[in-house]
Amino acid sequence: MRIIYLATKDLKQILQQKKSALFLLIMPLLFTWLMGIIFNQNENHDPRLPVGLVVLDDGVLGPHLRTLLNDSDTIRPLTPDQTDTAFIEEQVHSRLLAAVVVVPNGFSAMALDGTMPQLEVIVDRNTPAGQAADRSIQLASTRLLGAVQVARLSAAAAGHSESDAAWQAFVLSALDEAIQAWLNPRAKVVVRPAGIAASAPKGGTQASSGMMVFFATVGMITPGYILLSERHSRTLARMMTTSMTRAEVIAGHVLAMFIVCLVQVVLLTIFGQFIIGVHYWHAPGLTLLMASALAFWSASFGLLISSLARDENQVVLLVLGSTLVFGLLGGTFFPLELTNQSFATIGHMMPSAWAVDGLQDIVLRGSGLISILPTVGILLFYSTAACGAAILLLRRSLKN
Amino acid sequence: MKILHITLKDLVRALRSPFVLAFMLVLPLLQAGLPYLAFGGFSQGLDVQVTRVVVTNLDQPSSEHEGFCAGTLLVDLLQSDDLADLLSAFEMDTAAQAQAAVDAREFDVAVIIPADFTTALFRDDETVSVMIYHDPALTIGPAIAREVVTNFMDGFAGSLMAADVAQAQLAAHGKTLDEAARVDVMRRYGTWIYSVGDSLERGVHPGINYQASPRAEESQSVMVALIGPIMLGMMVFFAFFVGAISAQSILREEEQGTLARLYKTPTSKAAILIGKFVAVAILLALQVTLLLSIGGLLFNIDWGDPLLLTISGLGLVLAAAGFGFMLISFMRSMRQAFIVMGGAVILTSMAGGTMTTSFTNLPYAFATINLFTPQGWVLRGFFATMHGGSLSEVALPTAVASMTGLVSLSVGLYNLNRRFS
Repeated sequence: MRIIYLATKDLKQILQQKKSALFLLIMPLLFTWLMGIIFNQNENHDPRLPVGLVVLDDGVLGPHLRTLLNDSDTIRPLTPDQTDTAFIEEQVHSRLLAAVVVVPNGFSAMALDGTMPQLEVIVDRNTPAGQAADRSIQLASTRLLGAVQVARLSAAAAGHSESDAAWQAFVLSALDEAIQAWLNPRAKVVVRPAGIAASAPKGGTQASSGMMVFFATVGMITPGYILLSERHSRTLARMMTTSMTRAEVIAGHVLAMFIVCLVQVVLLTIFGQFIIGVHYWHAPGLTLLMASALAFWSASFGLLISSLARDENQVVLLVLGSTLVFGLLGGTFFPLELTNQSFATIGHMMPSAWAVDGLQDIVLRGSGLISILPTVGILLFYSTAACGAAILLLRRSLKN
Repeated sequence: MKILHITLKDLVRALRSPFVLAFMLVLPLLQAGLPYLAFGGFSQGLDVQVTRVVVTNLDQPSSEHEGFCAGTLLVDLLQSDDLADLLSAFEMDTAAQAQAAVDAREFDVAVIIPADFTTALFRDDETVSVMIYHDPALTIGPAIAREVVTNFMDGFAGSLMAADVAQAQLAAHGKTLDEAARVDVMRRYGTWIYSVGDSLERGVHPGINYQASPRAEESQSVMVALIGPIMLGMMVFFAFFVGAISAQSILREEEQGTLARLYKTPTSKAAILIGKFVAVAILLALQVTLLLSIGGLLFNIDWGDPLLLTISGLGLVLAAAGFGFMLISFMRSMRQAFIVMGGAVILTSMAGGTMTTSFTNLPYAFATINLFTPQGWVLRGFFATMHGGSLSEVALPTAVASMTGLVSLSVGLYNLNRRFS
């Protein structure tokens, strides 16, 4: 009961500081929204990389190339405002366009005559966006030139020679058909994500779960202040002279931090569910279990920080510094699959990586209790270690 | 002289504070350094993790086509040494086993080749699909596997399409395409696509002429192109933080009572406040210089023309120092200051684009919101410098950033003068 009194007192103190809402709610919501947009979850926004298409050729292949580029999952063709080289190069440098494809004058005539013409492509292949755009441009170019080959082979099979008057009409008709065929090829690849991902926005899931884990520990600034001020004002030492045991005092503070973080995480899952469309609540029991494990980790982290710090500035510095390390190494800002192998291995030593994995197991993979338990266990291990270290530090501080 | 003394005192105090030093150097370098290590470190290209692929080949050799089995060709391709840096492919007998292995996260991607793959490829009335089943939390691995399989399939699809189109076109003209002619069309298309593939293996697409832009040639590696914008964003973000933190000396002195005592001396209020502002500006100049130098030396970032870089840097110093002064002038206590200041700096930095410098294809609204924050204008100036812009291209955003700094400073001085009068 005394644990609950102490936790209630801490909670009142936290709620009285209206500014704590900034770190606990406002910033996490804004960041989740921002990251959701960055990962292209705005339904009105075409997430494909913009690629400029400049057609200087008056033949038939320019429009066909546009059709094939537009069929890509990665890029979308746009017509730049100006066609001079300096302007389009600047568009690529400024990253307004991932690449520019120029169909030079005479391109169609050369292709239909049987020579291999070349598109001009301006792209910085040193950037990830440039590399992705380049691959898609190569695929579309191969298909375009392949369609020309098909048209010419068809004309030859029909017995037309290039000198025939009917040859060009035949080739153009075959070309149209070949382009249409590329849009729906007979041999194709079907991609199916495992789990329940078809109904979950992947980018939004990364943004939502990543920011949730990140801000769960950032939110420990205000609760950390409270324990620190109790240490400084000797209230903690005086509390130790009462009949309350040391374990009860620590449990009371941890409980308050746990409740703050749990409420924050639950609110963020509701925001994620209704605003971003991440289905946290399709499995409410599992989501609550993961939220509790994450909240326990954050509370233990908050306890450790408030027992380490000597003043308020140090609380902020230690929370922000360690959260940034956990966040950047643990894949809260970018998925660890994008990193190299060594970084991903180190990243999985961070509790944040396990927390993100656990949340994604629920919303993307549709995992059950058995699959979630190891992740929960690992978070509990980190929490226990942080609590243990904090208790040792507090004991030493109380002796002094 | 008195201004100088006040400036020096504040500077020494700030530089002795681990808190200020952490925000000045440690955190921005951490923010740029960790992604640097994450995406390849000191190598010259983007490193990606090897994708674990499980392949189930249900395809049967076709007796009609002399035992040819397209599925085996695809398996061989996925297991080839050429792709060993990207994919590590392992075969399993059934589709269910392969899918279960992906579900259990033992593999990242399953490639399932259907039983009628070869037969369907040669029948003109059938479509055929190879399925890629993947861990839903992954994007890169499945994309690589998809690209490899799509390129393979395009070769077949193209040959089939060539025959189908020729047949349809001939039929439209009242002619027929016999089997021998059909196979001939497919063979000739195959020869053509093989030559394209051969060229691609040598890193050259025969239908593309890359117009290497001057800037792309300058980029020494993928890492430089990736880390430069991140480092820039973090430098601007933390410069605004340091501007506000170091301007807190006014509040600290007010709380400790030393400011009141200072006002009782013959030194004018203006001299005291200007001294404090100069200290903040010098600290920021030091921070920006150190971060730019470290970025250049450690990460090989090319920041652009030194003169234009200096102009952009001055714009950042003025904007961040003025913004910090204005924020502090509204605060009543140190405790209130840190939280409100943190919130204001983070929100304006977020809207200003400091956290999204490395992203392409952001919604248009972001570019507009940027214009309402000093950070947005500062970034514009730096980006113009990095992209080899002219003096006028750098000067305009830098002038706007500097103006926001001066206006903020005026608001701050006005507030503080009123408060202490």
